[in-house]
Order: sequence, then structure tokens, then C-alpha cells
Amino acid sequence: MMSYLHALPSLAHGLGTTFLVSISAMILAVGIGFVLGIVRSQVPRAIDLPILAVIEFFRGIPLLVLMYFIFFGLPQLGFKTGQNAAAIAALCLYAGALGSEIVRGAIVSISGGQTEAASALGLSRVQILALVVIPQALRRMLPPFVGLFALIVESSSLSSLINVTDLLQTAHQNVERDNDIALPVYLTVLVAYFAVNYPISLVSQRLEKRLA
Amino acid sequence: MPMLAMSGVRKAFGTNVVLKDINLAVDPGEVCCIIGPSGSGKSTVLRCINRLVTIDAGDVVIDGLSVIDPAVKDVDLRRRVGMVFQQFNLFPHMTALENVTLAPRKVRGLSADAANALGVTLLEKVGLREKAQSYPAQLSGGQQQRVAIARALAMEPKVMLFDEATSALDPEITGEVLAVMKALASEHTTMICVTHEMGFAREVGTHVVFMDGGLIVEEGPPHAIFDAPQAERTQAFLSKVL
Amino acid sequence: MRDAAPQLAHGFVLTLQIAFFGVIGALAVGVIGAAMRVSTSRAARVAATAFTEFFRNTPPLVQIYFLAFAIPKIPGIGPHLILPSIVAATLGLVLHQGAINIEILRAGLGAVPAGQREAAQALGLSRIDELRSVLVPQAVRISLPALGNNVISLFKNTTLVASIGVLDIFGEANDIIATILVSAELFLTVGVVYVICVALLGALFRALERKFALAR
Ligand SMILES: Nc1ncnc2c1ncn2[C@@H]1O[C@H](COP(=O)(O)OP(=O)(O)OP(=O)(O)O)[C@@H](O)[C@H]1O
Ligand SMILES: [Mg+2]
Repeated sequence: MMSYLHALPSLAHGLGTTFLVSISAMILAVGIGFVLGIVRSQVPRAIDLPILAVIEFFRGIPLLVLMYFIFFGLPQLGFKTGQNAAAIAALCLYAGALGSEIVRGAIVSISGGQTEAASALGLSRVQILALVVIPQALRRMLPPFVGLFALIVESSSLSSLINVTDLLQTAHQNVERDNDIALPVYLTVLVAYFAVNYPISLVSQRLEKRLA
Repeated sequence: MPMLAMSGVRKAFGTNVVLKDINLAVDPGEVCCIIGPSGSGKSTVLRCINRLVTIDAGDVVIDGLSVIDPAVKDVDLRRRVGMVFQQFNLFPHMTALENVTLAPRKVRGLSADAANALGVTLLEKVGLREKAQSYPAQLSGGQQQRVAIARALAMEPKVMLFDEATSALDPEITGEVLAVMKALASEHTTMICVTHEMGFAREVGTHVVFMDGGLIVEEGPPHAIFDAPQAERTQAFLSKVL
Repeated sequence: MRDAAPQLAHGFVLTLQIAFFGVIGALAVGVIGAAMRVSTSRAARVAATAFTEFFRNTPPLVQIYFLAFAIPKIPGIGPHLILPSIVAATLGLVLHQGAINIEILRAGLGAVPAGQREAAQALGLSRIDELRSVLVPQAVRISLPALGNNVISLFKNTTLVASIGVLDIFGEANDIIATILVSAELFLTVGVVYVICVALLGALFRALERKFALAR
């Protein structure tokens, strides 16, 4: 039991790393999502198709395989990455692919009638997008982006497998040191993830209802 | 003895008292048409009869069974009452024949063969025998409503309830549904029809009820209601719709 | 690289087996849980809701670790609950993806128009027949796209089983790398196999959606 109490500070530290990885990945994913999403909503289908293929690739490849490729595979090709950077890179590529769908979907859903009304006012295409469509689309994007953050936090647990000392990896290390605390330690980890992700998904659901 | 007797029926949704004190008797073979403005409680009256809503006070007795008697099961009431909805509410994942045979198989316990034979007969009756294998989405609104009537008849009910059966239809196809209803009336089916079709109420109805604000304001034979309405509210309503 | 092929193929078969049992298990959890969430028993509703929220809001990898490493440490009964790694891994996937299925099917039931329930009741159908013949078939059709996404997500998550030593295709790849170092090619190969499978699954579900589309 003492040994479990001693594990708590390191678990807290691990949770900090989980947040660091998740938040970094989220910021990058939002960036990727907006750039690709806006581009995809504006370009003709022929240009959109190759972008879509890349997005489908990052949605189709399991996150863990992507993470291992970046961490273990890329150094062979001359790109060395630290474990945290590799974890963040894999997470933001995966979440960015999902994010671009969110952005594109929201923009397309607003565009129709609004674009016509705005061009009737003589606004340019960029003005229409920046002043009319995107501000309205933001409301639609908010709930799925909040949900995406919950998915990133959940998925960040995979970074423990490339030795990022996140919450799960810290737990693992503590249990390796003293096998008898496996039950309370892993229970703590489950509860900690739940305590983070449950409120996030509640917020996402609330927003969805409110903005519907 | 009337087929249906409502006495002192009261129903509120929260603080909204929708039915205040409804008293109504319908004899076997009668065609009772309920008319009245939107929100007056017409649909709620129908839904009290087969316990789709439970009443707060009063009683509804249908074919000798009381809806407030806890010993009377839902299925006992619903087997005696066929209901046709404004929006048809056909089951979209079933063919016309499957829609019609569902209750005979599941509720009345008929064999598949017997249910199918009954189903085909009923579809024939509403003029849609050749549509037995069609899905609702492949049928026009008028055809869907006729299938819905066949589905309700498949219970071999004592009373048929129609809740604005033609309101969702384009004006030029209401006729085919009204014709089926007229045919049922001529076979002395007991019917209670909420309707906006004043022509139908006058021609086919044996009894017309005017409702407003959760109360029956006036009732009587069609010519009395339509040609010499007594209450001011009836006169005002009829002058708007006729 | 060519030498690795038989080992990867062997792992791929195990991946397919885990995915198969995982999908079946998660669907069973989803159906039972969704039925509990619309049941008249308050206890059943509360239990199913708690299960859903807990297991869909915690990472499947942590659930797998918990089943494999923590459960055996429960005082008294733990030692009798030591699961083979492959069972613990599959069960972890079933819990997480099953919880998501519950939510999907419950939302699907909620999306069936109210008139359908009324019509079923007016015909005198029992609650069971109303669910079985009228509501569930429509809810499943409404839920099909989301269920398909969840199957794909489970399929991708089968890679997690390697983390507790199960030799699926990804585990075999790791095993090969431990002996000979060819990781870039190898992970790319494994990744492409998954991307192809995911694309096939996606096409399969779109075909199912078209076949069972509910035209209203
Ligand atoms: N399930 C319900 N919950 C709450 N209020 C209801 C419910 N059903 C009906 N009401 C309310 O009861 C009142 C009467 O409704 P009802 O549907 O019986 O009227 P109606 O005469 O059939 O009107 P319409 O011609 O528009 O169909 C309305 O104010 C309606 O909002
Ligand atoms: Mg009504």
C-alpha cells in the first residue's frame, strides 16, 4: 500500500506528460484540419482527390503502426525523432486527417445558399469565405472538435508503447518495480482517463444539442 | 348498448388541460365525424380510446371493456380498435403485405399462410392487391394510406379510428382514400373520423361532433350541424372552413 | 523482407481472427446494452449507462492492461481470473467498442420516428415484438454508417493486442524487427495492409447501407 502511495506523484507527472502530448497534438491537428479542410472545400474535384487519398491513408493506418513507423522506421531513412515528437507527430497526422473532414463538412454545409446571398452583395470569393462562411461554420465545428480532443487524449495512451513516460507508461514502470500494486495503479489510471475524458465528451454532447 | 362510451373524460399534459369533460356515445355501425379547430383535442380523444394516452379522470368503455380497468390489458383494447394516422406510419422496412400481416401473426397468432391469405384479401379490398410486394417508399401517398387502412382492418377491429387520414395527401388523391372509407361505412363498420373534409362528414357521417378547447361544443346529425348550427363557435368555425 | 512474408501472413490470420471475434462480441454487447438502456427497469438503464460512459471514455489499451495485469491481482479471486493474453486483448477491444456500439444503437432507436412506435402499439404488438419487428430493424439501418466506422476502428485497434505479447501481424512485425532490422519497410508494409483492409471494409459497409437503405 505504501508503495502505491509512493507511485502517486510519478503518476501525476505522467498525467502531465499525457496532457502535454495531447494538447500539442490537438493544436497541430486543428492547424492541419483547417488548412486541408478549407483547401478541400474550395478546389475542384481533380485536385481534391489526391488530398483525399492522403487523408484516407492517415485515417486507415492504425495509429500504433504510424507511431512505430515514425519512431523506429524514419531514423533508418535519416529522420531521427525523439519519442515525444514521434508520438505528437503520429497523433496530429491522424487527428489532422479527421479534423480536415470536420472543417470541410462544416464549410460545405454552410456554403450553399449563403454563398449566393453573399455574392449577390458583390463580395469576393475570399471575403465570402472569411467573413460569411467560416464564422458560421465555426459553430458547427466546435462539438466535433471537442470530441476529437477526447479521442486524442484516449489515443495518446499508445505513446507509452514508444517509451513516452505518459500516464500509462508511468503506471507500467511502477508496476514493474512492485507487481503487487498492479490493481490499484491500473485502476487509478482508468479512473484518471475517465475523469479527463468524460467531462470532455459531456461538453461535446451539450454543445451539439445546443448548436443543433 | 353503444360500441363506445366516453364519460367525463379529462386529460392534461402537464398544466395544459387538453380534454376538459368529454362525453360521447357511438353506436354500432355509426360513422362519427369529429371536426374542430387545430389544437382543440381531437387527436387526443382518439388516442384515449386505445390507451395511447392514459386519461386522468372519467371513463372510456369500448365493446364493454373499460380503459381504466387495470384487469383489461392493452392488447385486449387494441385488438378491438384499428387506427389510421395522418402520416400513415407504415413500417418502411416491410412490404405492403408484411405491414398488413404483422398484427395477425404476432397479435392474433395466425399462421403465416392464414395471415397472408387475409392480407391479400384486405389489399384487394383497398384496391392494391398488385402492390403486395411493394415497399412503402415505392407507393404514392394515397396508396400508402390505403395499405395503412388494410393494416388496421387486419386486426378485425370493432371500431376504426381515422385521424385526419387525408390531410397529408395532395387534394387530387384524397378521393381514393375517401372512397375506401365510404365503402367501409356502407358495410356498417363503426368508425370515428377526425376530419377536415366537411363534404365527407356531411355525406357519410351519421353523427357530427364539433370540438373546441377540449370540450364538445355541439353534436348531432350532419344536416343539423352544417345547416343549422346552434352555437356561435360552431357557426364561426363553419363559416371559415365551408 | 521477403523472408518476413510467411511470418507476417501468420500474424495476419490471427489479426483477422481477433477482429472477427471482437466484432461479434462488440455487437452482442451493443445490442444487449442498448436493450437495457431502453428497458423499463431503472436499474438496468442505470447499469447500462454507467457501462457505456465508463468504457467509451477510457482508452482500450488501458482496459487491455487492466484485464491482463490488474485483474489477476484481485485478492482472493484474482489468481483464478488469469486470462490468456489473446483473450484479455480481445475482451478489452470488445468492452471499448461494445460501449460505443451501445451508444450508437441507442441513438438509432431514438431516431426512429415516434409515429412508428405509436403504430406498433396501436396494432397491439407486445413491447418485445414492437422492438424486434419494428424499432430494432429500423434503428440498425439508421445506425449502419456509425456501426461500420466502429468496426473499422476495432479492426485498427487490433494492433493493440501486440502490446501484451500477442503475435498478430503487428506483433510479428515487431518480432522480426527484434531479430533483423528492417523496420521502415516492414511498418510501411503492415500499414498498407491495414489501409487496404480498411478501404475494403468501408466499401462493404457502403454497399450494405445502399442495400438496406430506408427510403421514407
Ligand atoms: N404527448 C403530448 N404531450 C404534450 N402535449 C400534447 C401531447 N399531445 C398533444 N398535446 C397538446 O394537446 C393539445 C391538443 O392536441 P391534439 O393533437 O389533440 O389536437 P388536435 O385537435 O388533434 O389538433 P390538430 O388539428 O392540429 O391535429 C395541443 O395543444 C397539443 O400541443
Ligand atoms: Mg390532430
